[in-house]
Amino acid sequence: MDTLLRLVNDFVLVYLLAINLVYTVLLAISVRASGQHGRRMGFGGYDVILHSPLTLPVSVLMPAYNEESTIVEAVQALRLQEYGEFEIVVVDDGSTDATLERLVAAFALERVERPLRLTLACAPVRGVYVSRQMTNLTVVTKENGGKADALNAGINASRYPLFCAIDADALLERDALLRVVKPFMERPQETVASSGVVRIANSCRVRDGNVVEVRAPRNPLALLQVVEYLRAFLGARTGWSRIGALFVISGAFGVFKKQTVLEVGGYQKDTVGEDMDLVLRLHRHLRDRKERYRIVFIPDPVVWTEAPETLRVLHGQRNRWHRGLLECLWASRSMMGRPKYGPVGLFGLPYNLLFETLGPIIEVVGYGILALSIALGVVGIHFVVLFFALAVGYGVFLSIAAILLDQVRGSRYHSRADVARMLAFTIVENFGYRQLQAVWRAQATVDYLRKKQGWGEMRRKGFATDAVPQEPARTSVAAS
Amino acid sequence: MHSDTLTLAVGALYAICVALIVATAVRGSLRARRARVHERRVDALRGPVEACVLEGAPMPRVQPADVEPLLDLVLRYSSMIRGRDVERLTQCLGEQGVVDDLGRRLKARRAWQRADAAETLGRLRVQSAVPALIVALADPSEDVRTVAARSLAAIRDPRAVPALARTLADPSRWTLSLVAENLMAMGPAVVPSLLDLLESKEHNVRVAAVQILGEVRDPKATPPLLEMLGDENLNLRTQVAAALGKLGGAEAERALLSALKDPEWQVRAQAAKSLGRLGRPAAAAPIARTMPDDNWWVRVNCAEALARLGAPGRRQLERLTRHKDRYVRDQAVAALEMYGLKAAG
Repeated sequence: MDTLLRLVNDFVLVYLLAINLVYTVLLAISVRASGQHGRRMGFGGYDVILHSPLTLPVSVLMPAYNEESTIVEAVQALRLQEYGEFEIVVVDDGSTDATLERLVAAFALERVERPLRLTLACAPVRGVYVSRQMTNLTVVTKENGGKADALNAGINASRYPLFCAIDADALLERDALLRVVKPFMERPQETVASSGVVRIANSCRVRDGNVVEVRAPRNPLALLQVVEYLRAFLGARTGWSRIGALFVISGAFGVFKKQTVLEVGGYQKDTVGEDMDLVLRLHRHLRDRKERYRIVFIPDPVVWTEAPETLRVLHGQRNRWHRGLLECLWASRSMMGRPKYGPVGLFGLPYNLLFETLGPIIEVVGYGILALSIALGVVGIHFVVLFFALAVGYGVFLSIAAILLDQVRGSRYHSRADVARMLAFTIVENFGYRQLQAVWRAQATVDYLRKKQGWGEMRRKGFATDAVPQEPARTSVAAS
Repeated sequence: MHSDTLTLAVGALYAICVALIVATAVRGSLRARRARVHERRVDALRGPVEACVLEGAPMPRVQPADVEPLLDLVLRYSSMIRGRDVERLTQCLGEQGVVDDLGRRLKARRAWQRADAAETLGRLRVQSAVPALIVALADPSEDVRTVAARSLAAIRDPRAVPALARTLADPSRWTLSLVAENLMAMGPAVVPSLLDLLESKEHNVRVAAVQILGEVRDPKATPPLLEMLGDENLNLRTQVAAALGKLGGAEAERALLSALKDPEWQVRAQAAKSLGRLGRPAAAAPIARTMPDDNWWVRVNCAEALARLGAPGRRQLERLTRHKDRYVRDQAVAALEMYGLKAAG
């Protein structure tokens, strides 16, 4: 028994060191990549992208379900984007509140008999509205079918070769579109998708859909998430992007090449992680075809979003995210560890399996074993304290490094007090928040496994097929 | 085993955290201080430089430490002044050794320094740097190439046109935009070089040349473009149809009308769009004949083009709302609605 416990403890220690080593390497790559990016940004060229007639036009797709309180402001904010040619497609996903009515009133929408080209299947469309005031606004209203379904409908209604998917409650910074499209301008053949940083808008002052004064959230739960987001976006995704293994593009803000997304059949409806799922299928499709491609994350276009301020809402969100992750991993299990699938197959997916999926379980089990070991006197309290100090220390180090990286590379947070609070919270998060996350994720894993048993395999329609959508079966929806 | 090693590791970790915070804070305040000093120097130089820019006074001799602030200040003015004033200013900077220094930095080891030098030379519009910048167009770093192309284009020296035109082979659309924008601004002077490029073997180059010719809108480009409508490459034909829609003229219009019968839908769709753009009512009937097409985009573009052709286009659309094909009917109704023609008519 003693030896067993000791072995388990050693294993947990080694695992802890391994996971943190991976994070440190990612961080180092991120630091380097963001430095290079910063220098390149200095050479600008954004004015050229803004004015050039050769700039690719973008369709901004905004799925909305019961967003009556924010939808008008969100559209207003979008119309102020500094970008050449773009259109806004709001997809009302069968809202039961006044989302559509608010839009109709605010933008003098008129219903038109515009036939939609059904390149992707989606729930029945009830109607298409256009605005005489804002000629680049289209509103599609349809039966409820979920976010992925709404995005597919939006893709059907869009006219341009690039589309940008954003959340209805997300606020894009004025030049975000311009910055996120730049990779498509630099390498138009290869770039398939690009995305930017998601930041947390709680406590910030917002006017006309623009964040005018950045403040760190007063709510402690939201502040914890600020630190978490900085770590995830600046400390990790920049690194993943650099090694070509970016496996997720946040659903809150991402630009895609429409043609390639159509080739993989658009968004998948039966998953809660539709954003990650799409990116993984893009990787699979392009690798199968042996094409040169890039899916990138850039650390300077910013989208602001509201973070949950209560544990209940946060729990729901994290549970969904984690189940989404597990579904995506299961769906792309055949890519796991295969050199054929490049850096995503070799690094991205194994990382998600070994650390993101197993991590929380090992952490929860580790706490139990540690408690048991102390009770049985297998390890001394001295060891336990050191062990915990190491775990905390590494967490603090990674968080601090991310915050400082943000500061050095042009943070949005300028108040010293805000930065000091964020730094303090890197320690706070290790007492309670971190453990809570581990428990929630372990729970989500159990939820996922239960549900899978219940639903069986039928939920997974294999999307390994490379069905390229044929030129239109002459489908159209006479919206009636 | 672990205890001692662990203690050491934990201690080191926390020490690193503290060190990181301190280092960032120190870096921040150093930067702020440097910026303040820089601004003070800029302020001190502002009077003399303004006198030089606005009144033609000689540029004051500056200390080596003041070269950077001087350059900074001049760059702020350089976007506002034109022609002879620019030459005089660069000459003044040349006397201070700034231009030579930039020329040397164009060969620096670090790519971003080379790019930085190329950028500054472009913003100062230093004519004498054109040959060196042309060399930089072949730099191993993509950033340097892009910046050099942009700077050459900004200097607008005719010597650079052939070299710039060659950069159009670069797969980056960004470079293409940068170069294209400036070539367009240089106007008809670039047309001969572009016409040469139409003969290029590289597909990208030909497409780019066609696009720019469309933007420059010099009628000299029309005849060779007309010939290219018969090219076997689909993408090229499509781009030619787009360019002809910008160039206009009776010949272009005739060619576009025949392109409505192209075997590939991309070309038909683009021809319809271009004809709509040209806005000649005589095109209404042929476009209406093309509209019952198998392809979605051809139908959409035809309907939208008709909506732009005034009364004849509207009459055709109204006729098409009674077409036997439902998809054609729908599209015609949509176009009439979109453009508010129903109410007006």
